[in-house]
Amino acid sequence: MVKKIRVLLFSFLSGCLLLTGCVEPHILDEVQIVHATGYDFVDEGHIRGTISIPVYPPDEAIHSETLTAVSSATREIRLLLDAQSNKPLHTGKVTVVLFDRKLAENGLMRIIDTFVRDPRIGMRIQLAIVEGSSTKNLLETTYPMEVDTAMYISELIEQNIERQNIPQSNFHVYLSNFYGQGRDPFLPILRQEGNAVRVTGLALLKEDRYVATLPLKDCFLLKILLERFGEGSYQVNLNQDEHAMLRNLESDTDWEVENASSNPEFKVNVSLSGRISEYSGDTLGDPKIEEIRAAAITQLEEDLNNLIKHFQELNVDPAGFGDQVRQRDPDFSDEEWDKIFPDVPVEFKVNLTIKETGIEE
Amino acid sequence: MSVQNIKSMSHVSPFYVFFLVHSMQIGVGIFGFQRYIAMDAGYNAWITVILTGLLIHILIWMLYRILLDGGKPRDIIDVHRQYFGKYIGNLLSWAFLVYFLFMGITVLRTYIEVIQIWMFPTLITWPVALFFILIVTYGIFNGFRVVTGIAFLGVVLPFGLILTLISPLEFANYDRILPVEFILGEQTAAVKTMTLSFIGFESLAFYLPFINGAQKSQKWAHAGHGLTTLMYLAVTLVTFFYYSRLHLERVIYPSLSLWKVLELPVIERFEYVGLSMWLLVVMPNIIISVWVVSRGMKKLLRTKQRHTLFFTAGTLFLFTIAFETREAIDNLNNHVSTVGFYIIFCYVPALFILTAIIRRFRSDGKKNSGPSV
Repeated sequence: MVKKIRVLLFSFLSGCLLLTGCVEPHILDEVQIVHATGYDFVDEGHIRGTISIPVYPPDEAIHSETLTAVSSATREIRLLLDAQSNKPLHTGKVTVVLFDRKLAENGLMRIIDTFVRDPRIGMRIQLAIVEGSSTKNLLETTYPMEVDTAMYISELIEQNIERQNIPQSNFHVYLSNFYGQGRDPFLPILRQEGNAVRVTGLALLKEDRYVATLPLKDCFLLKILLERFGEGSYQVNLNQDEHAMLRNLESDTDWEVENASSNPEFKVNVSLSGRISEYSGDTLGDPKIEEIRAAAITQLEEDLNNLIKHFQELNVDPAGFGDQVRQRDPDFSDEEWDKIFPDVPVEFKVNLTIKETGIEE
Repeated sequence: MSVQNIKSMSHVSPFYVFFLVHSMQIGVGIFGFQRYIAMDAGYNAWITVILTGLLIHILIWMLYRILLDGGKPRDIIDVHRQYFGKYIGNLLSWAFLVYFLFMGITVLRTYIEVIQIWMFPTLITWPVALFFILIVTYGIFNGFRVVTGIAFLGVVLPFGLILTLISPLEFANYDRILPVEFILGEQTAAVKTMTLSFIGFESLAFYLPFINGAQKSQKWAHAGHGLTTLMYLAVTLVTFFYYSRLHLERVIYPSLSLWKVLELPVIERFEYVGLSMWLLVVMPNIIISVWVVSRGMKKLLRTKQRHTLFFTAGTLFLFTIAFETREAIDNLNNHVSTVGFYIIFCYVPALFILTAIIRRFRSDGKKNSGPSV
């Protein structure tokens, strides 16, 4: 009896293995893999969606193709795009999502919501804002640097984050700044120039709306405030035609907040260390290095002061000054912070160590 | 030490209580508990995890005092019969069995739901449920040792998944848990919520007689629960460092969404691997629940466990496929959790006090009887 039941159970279990093919398969050759998506503003209430798909024609090089549809809702755009595609569209490999600047001025969250809900979307995908042209144009162009347009754009942004002046940014960083109390989000801005794309700076957003652009050179200042190890470069002007370039700066920012719960006052100590990678004068002796160091500190303090003034005028807080207050005040509220941020006194103190000056004196 | 009416072939050594306790506590709750405790106590909720962990150590100790009568292990059915008589006692035992049956249903249905949301939206519930239940039945059919074995594998094999907690730290903001505050009102509410993630260890009340040298197993029960607490603490802290608070409130399964940021050279989306591995974590939950129900019914009805096992498996299957929507599954989770909370935080202490009174009374009667509490 027992043996019989055992045999019966065993055969049942083996039979179950055959049931494992019960779901819809997604075979690579039978789906269109979307690599990039772009959204443009058409008019109030209408958006144009463009997707970039890699195609693999026989005996020919791989290239990217685009499909476009206009509608009032992102979900419907998807429907209209599917209507143009010979194979089902698959969103699991999206690496870049682009937004037209005009669209960003009207708020991004209603579009991003689709991506937030989709379990197939990874958190490392890049979001960016396009200025100067539509995202459709940008995605349609073939770039000689890389066959796949989406790959070109995402690698371009990532390179600028890892090695240059752009602070860490991706889907997750955007969401955590958007939802984070006392922080405002930012996204990289792209501009198409001939057959190349250039990162021109950061778009500062209030809630999910575009407010202003931070030029690339100032992005470095934001990066040292946000990150511990910021790689990037910074130009120090000694006088009219004498300047030096600082690179590979490591930064450590120490925030002091007084009266956090009533009238916050900031003392921000920025400790930097890096090397001089370029100097326009003749020789770099010790007194010269000291001179550069002193000039750099004055210039950095001035630039940081201007930066925070700029943020206060716009009332955007991408550096997270509000977050520093939140850490010290349990009753922190975003509404309250919005009111007081423009008048909060901030004092910067920069400390700079020059570690190396390159391989020549 | 040994119990006469259970064959020693089905006994396991005390060490395995570690795996039985730990594997039964970690299940589907770990996918989303951080969100709920954060709703109660904000980002101070990591204190709650430690606090609740400590409280439950006390309850495990109480449970052992109730179940060990002068060194002899007995199960909750014996305790009920002794304290409340045949009829009321058995009725209470049946209530326990229904609770464990629903615990099994909850875990199985929630796991299938998660697969449907994250991996295969078109997956039909019943074939997967059937597949699960057949494995579970097959395992229990071969005795308690197999159940223990599954619990062991369910802890050891997926243990490597703990390493996936490192990846989200790339985007960690360690200041998110500041300011640290201890507000009693918040913590009490959060302790109640957190308890729901720890329930399951009370199945001890059924399998203790199957442990060789049950007394020696207590330290392993505490250790197993200790590991659970540490894991929950790690998951909570990583989640808090990674999400901002308002963001966390919007994510249904924060632990799964953590995997969205993990990128491996060969696997673009880790959820597929992680969720499949989770089958091993979920399996002990279901198998122990079903074992408890079938074993309890066997004892109450004085019949063969084979029969009660098939009955339990059938009921589990029918109930599992009956829950269709997110809302129904959520309600099921809430109800089972609430009942679990009252069982461990009210019923166990009540039974403990009763035990203490009875033993004091008894030792007053006959001067030389066994050790009191």
